Amino acid sequence: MADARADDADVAADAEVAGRYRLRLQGRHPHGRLGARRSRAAGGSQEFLDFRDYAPGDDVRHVDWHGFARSGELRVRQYEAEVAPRLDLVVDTSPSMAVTAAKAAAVRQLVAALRTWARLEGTAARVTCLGGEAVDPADLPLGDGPVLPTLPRVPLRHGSVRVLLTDALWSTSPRALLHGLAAGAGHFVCLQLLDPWELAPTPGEVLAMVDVETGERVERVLDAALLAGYQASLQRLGDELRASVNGCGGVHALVVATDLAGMCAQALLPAGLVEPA
Amino acid sequence: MTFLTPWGLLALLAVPAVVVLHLFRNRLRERRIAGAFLFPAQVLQAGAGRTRTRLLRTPSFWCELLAATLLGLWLGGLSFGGRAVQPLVVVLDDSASMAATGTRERALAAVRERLRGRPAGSFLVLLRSGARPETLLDARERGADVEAALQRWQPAQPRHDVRLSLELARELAGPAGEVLFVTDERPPAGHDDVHVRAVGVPAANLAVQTVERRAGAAGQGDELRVRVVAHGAAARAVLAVQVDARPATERAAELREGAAEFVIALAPGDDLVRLQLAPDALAIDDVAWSLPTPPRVVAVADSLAPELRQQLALDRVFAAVSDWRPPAAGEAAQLLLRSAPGEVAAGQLEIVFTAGQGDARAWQGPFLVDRSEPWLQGVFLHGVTWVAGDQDLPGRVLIAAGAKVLASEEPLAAGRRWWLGVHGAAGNLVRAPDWPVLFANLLDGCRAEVPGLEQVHVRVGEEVRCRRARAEADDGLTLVAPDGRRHPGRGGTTVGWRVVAPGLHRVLGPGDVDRGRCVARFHDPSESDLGALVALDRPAAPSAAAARAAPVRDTGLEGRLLALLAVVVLVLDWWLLARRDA
Repeated sequence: MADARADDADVAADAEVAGRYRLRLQGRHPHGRLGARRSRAAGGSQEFLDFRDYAPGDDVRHVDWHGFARSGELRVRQYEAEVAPRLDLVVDTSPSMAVTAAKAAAVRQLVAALRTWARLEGTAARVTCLGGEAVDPADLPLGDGPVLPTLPRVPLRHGSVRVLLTDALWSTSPRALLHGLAAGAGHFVCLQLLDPWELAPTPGEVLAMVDVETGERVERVLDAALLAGYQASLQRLGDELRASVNGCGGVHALVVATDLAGMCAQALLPAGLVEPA
Repeated sequence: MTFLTPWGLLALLAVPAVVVLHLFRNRLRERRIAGAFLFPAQVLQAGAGRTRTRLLRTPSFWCELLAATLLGLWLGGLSFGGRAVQPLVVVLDDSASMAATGTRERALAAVRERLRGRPAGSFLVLLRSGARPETLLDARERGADVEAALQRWQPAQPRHDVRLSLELARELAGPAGEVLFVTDERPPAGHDDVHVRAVGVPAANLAVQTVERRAGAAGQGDELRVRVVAHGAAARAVLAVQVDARPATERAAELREGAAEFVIALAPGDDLVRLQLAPDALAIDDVAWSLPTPPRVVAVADSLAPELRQQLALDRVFAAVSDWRPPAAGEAAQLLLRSAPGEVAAGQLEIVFTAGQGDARAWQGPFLVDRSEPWLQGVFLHGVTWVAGDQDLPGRVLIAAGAKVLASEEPLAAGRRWWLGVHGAAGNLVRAPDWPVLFANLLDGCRAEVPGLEQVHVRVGEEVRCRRARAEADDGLTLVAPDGRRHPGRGGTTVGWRVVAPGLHRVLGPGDVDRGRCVARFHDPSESDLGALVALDRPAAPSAAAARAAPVRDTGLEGRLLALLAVVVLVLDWWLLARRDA
């Protein structure tokens, strides 16, 4: 009963934290149903977008008659469409995402918060797994997903805001995956979620470390030299990931698996994924 | 499948040992991580722990189990039958007659003929006979090794009993093995299970029998008397003489009754003389050497009062004997003359002259003399009136008159002490001929304790003995053979080496200081006589033991395969561990 009350308290606290933020999509041009967000697509809002040549069927109310009087050419005004952006949340459910309880909890918190923010925007977020299908967020198969970076089996929606939630601890290059995810996206964000120990292992420990994905067992003394080498490898991996994401026109954010408030303040907000509500 | 060495199977205990080691391997704290590939390589060996842990069935574990099993089977001599092979032990008669013209070559040809056709790598032992048989080759056959061992064989020993060598060979060959005895004469009785190849050919031969060097008169050189004997038909002997490596003379003499004598006058100062007969069937007995014999001078320490020395007439006695001298400063004398017992060291003889206490009494015999004592040889005391005081002498009785002990030997921890109860001023003992004879004997006995070489002329097979001075008891002595090889000496006060080669030998002290020279020559008439040599081929008689014995099988192939597999598995294990840590 006490645990249930604690869980309820946590959920309430997360909801309270999520309520402080909203998705920040200004200057971006997602596609979606009619909504409150302006889109790059021409639509029915009051915000002028551009001129183009008249085509039969165009609304004659948008014909630039002043221009026609000056030049004799029929041109129509285009206005930005106001849309409700679609959110495709792609979650890496490989065993490494559940290597620690904190990391798994952070995944669930972020998924829940993103769904909340999508709902506030008037649309429903769709959660899909890397290499898998669309899933119910309540039954996220964390730890059961494929080890290698592969695209979801279901096509992502055109023009949607796509958020990839992964730790990107792949020994192979994720470039193809990232290109696939960013193709046709209205906006692409890669949230690299790492456990605090993964970012800074405790020095001085002597461990037999078992890789949860490969089963490989390595026995190491975590001395300064070893940790320096590890940090360098991790930094190189993060840099390559950031470069790949940026190359796809996306945004990369390193998220340390802590509480939701910390993750929003230290990672999502600086990365421009959310803004204060 | 057989195991030739069951004790080697104990090595299979290594298999459970490997499992136990893995079970009790000290496990590190485990942590589940992601991205193990990010951690750089590091070599970390986990030590043993006290608590049993879960057995990790890693490839390395299986490799170690397999390697332990293979090594155990290898040590156990696992065999799947092997290859039948008959061990062969060849005994080469090392007596000098085998070096007669053509005999050694025929013997080697006989051995090569027997070895021809045998499979490479089969069991072979080459033995050289002798009072102590020696192994020339003890290995699996390889052409070069066998030939090198055969070439090393140079027979030069005096006659010896070969039965010991044959029995050793039979033990080495086992019941199923073959023993080949290569000789030049008839084999000893028995040993019918030995294949005998005799390759001797009778021949006439001359040999130097004796070499006697007599000191010449003052101002003249020594005289050398050489006797040459003929074994077989020979009419004339030719003897070449070299003095100090220079040709001096060559003499020829007709043989009378199979012998000839040469008398050679040497010049004053002539040192090393080499005598060489004209070449004949056997060379080793044709050569002899002679060196002047250095005197072995006994150091005599006389601490008697002059009156007592005069009463005992010792000046007269020591004037009659030779090769003695007073000791140098700090030198330990071999003979001590004292009027009261003193300190005696090992190697010293102390003579204590005591007039006795009380009234002196004369003894006219008969005297009882201990004839078992060599130092009393020639001492008869006929007509002697021995005057001595009334004093009991300690120790073993040497000379007594009735119940009265006149001379005795007192047992000591080191050295010897003689008591002589004699009243020098009375009686006629000191004027009797027995008195200087007694001291001559004592000096001869003490001469054995004089440092230096005991003999300068020895025969091959005998021992060269060198006595150390007591002060240098810890110094090393080395015998340098004629071929230049150095043989360190071992022993206490006396160091000995068995001479195996004829020629001039030198004894060196520390720093290669010369301590003496000696010459050795071969002298064994039974070997010089080549008239009874025979040639025969007597195959081994089949024995019941050989028939019962299981054939010896060469299991080297299985052993090599097991060892190779074990090495491969160990290398694989090492590679797996290195790859895991990489």
